[in-house]
Amino acid sequence: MFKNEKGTILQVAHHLDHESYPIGHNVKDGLFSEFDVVYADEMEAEPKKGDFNDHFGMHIERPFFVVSALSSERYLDILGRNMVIKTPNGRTSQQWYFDQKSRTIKSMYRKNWSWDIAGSGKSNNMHAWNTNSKWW
Amino acid sequence: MWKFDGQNTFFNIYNDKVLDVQGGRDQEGNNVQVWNRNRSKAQQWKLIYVDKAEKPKNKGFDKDFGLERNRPFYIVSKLTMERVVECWGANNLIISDLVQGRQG
Repeated sequence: MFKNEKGTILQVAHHLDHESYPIGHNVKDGLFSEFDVVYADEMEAEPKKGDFNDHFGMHIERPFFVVSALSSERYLDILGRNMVIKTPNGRTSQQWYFDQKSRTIKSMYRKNWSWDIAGSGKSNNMHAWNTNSKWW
Repeated sequence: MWKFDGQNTFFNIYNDKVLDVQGGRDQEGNNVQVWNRNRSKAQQWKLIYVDKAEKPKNKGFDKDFGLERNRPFYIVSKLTMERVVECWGANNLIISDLVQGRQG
């Protein structure tokens, strides 16, 4: 916990664990005001291209196909921006990779597009959208 | 943010919903969506790394379709005159006498 001389405590604003959320201060404490100090020279190195990311279950920047278990075994593909299933055709629109920097699954067809739930997470539809750090 | 469970499911780490083929319809171009887990086939996927994937074959016999790949052929009627199938206009197929090199 980081506390100043007036007793206010450094904490994550609104107690929300969202990328790019601001840091604020308050007098109340809780999990949202707990931080670890990790010295830069002791920080674990980021995994590199080709390494397996245990947390996300994919190799980093290693392109892959996503094949449906339905009987025709169609491949996940992009139609416009929509994510759909299609017969394998060897095009890059059917290839995906895990990007360590953004922690998103990106398209080999447009490397600035990532898997995204349409309507800022309010819809059920999946599409490939400009990479961002939102939860959806 | 999406995670692969190492077996057959992709799920969003914030809402725990999974990647799902809409309505479980195994049709060309059908939409993919997020949905609550129900363990159906529509929610099961294989992750195949491109460097390990079998390359698509462009020669030889295709067992699924019963035809040789990329090998031109005629379709010949079994009727007496053994006419061949030909395109007629933009949308029609007809049978006509064989003129090699003409049939399209």
